[in-house]
Amino acid sequence: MVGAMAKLVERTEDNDLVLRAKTQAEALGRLYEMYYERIFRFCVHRLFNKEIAEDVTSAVFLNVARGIRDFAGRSEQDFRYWLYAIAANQANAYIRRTSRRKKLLAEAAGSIRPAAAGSADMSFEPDWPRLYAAILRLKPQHQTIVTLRFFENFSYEQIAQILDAKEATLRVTLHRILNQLRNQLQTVFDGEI
Amino acid sequence: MFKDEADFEKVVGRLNVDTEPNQAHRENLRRQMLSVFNQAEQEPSTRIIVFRTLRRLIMKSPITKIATAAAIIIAVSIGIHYLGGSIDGASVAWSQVVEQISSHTKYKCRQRVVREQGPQIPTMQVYHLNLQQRRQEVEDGTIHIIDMRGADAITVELYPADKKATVTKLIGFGPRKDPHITEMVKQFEQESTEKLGTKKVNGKILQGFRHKPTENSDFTVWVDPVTKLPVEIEIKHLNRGQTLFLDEFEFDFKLDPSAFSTDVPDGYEVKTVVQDYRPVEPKQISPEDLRTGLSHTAYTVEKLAWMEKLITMQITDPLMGMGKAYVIGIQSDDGNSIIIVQGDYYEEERMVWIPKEKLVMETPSGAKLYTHPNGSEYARLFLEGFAKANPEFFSMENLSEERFTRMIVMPDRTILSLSANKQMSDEKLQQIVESLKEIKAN
Repeated sequence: MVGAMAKLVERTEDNDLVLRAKTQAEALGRLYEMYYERIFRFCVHRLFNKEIAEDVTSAVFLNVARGIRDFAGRSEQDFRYWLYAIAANQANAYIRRTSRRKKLLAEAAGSIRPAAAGSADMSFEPDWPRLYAAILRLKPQHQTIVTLRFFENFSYEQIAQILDAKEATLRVTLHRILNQLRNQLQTVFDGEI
Repeated sequence: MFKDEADFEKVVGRLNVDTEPNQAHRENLRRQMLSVFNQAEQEPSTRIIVFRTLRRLIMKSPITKIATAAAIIIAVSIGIHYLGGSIDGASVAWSQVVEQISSHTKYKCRQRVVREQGPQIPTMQVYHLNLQQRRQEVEDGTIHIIDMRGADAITVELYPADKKATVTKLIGFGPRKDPHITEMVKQFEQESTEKLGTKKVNGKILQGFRHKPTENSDFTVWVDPVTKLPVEIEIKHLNRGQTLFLDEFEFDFKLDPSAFSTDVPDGYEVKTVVQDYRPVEPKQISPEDLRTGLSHTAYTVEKLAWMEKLITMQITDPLMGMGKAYVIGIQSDDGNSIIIVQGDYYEEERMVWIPKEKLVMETPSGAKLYTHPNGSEYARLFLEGFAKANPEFFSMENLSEERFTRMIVMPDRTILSLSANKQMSDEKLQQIVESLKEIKAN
């Protein structure tokens, strides 16, 4: 009961923070502290290069600084969805430039540590560049869905909010994405893209 | 090979990706972000006020009002600065278009809005003399002139058929930049501006670019590859079911400067409206001051037995940080501080969200009370504003976690806000709302 009350209070405070962040730098600074790591992590998972992820994270928060006064949302949840939507758009914009795909692919190989030794289920262990190559072949929006679902562990409902999509459609889309990835992993070779 | 979603999740889970942030980047970005936020402090709120003003003062007819609303949506959609660059292989690079637009602040165009539902919007010719002066010629014959160069911005509505004019003076508004559509378009990010290929219009080949800053906004710009200037701009607002078309562009048009004069031609019956944006001196005011200060019905509170102190004041609007708010402060015999806020911004058109909130009470006289989604924060802001203006009435040291806000919609659709520092019984809430009386002249 106490825990539930504490959560309620915390959520209310976060909502107030969003409202205040429209006019107060201190509140915006607190939101930044709450979300910097999450957005940076999302960008790394989306772009697999920490330097690029820093650039995109910078673009995300600078956009927030410029746009928060016009942000129509009122709650912390609205803010979170807005923030991830900006991050997804920024990352997609980056990836859309085909000339950078090869670089991303090359970087991906170097940014992944080996999987933990003695992992339980080793039935499927693609090398990361191959998996990332396959992911990069997806539409940018589909790449975002994969990142949000599998790297950020968002629920379908949350992803639907971020991407302004229907939950049922998302489920179907993800099913198709996985089929597509499965097919691509059987045919994609390093350097193909 | 992975079999299903759960299987794929395991695969991803085994990837060991280094996501440890760089503290130096984190701190630098924080500083940079807050600096951008502070620098942008004036501009966005200004932009909103400009549009509010245009909407309120220029577009009084329901039809033209919607036209302005379309522009508001554009402004809100493009509240982001972007960078330039070049598009590989395109005959015209977006950066070249941006460069050309930047050197042409004087232009005219035709503006059309097509809505999927509801009343259609008249077409108008819009002349931008510069970033601070604009003339709009609406197809119904109305002319609007906007001049935001001086300390007091001026807008003029001319109705030539009736020989009537409305002049609105925005005192203390300060020099402002007109929220210009081409100014917004040129801020599109090179990277996310998609090349559309070409199309032929009236024998002329145009190069297309597309930019989709949000899920609900979709911009298409067609430029002349020779001049590298826009020929057509199409802005879709998907969630609102309307599309704005700008065409018939003419850059560096010829028009007599007197067309942008805010002097009303001879023979017009002139109505003058003044909106005061100067800093407000907090002071106690009379109900009559409150009535004359508002452009809609004003209310006062009839003192009830449990009210120990009642005071009416004008204060700087705590939400806007400028302009005026009228506040009736009440101290109750159980130590509660209650404030009822009235202001011109509490207009029905802008408060359409209220009926979507929870209805908590309907009084016998037909007033309705709704919750406010950020009631606690609004109560804090108003109590703080009132505490600054009158420290004897309320001290922020006594701010309570019980504070709340209710939006009151009166039977005549006037909207007021009630904030209290502590919880109130329904009985007292109803009594206070029923004690609201319209202030009539004399």
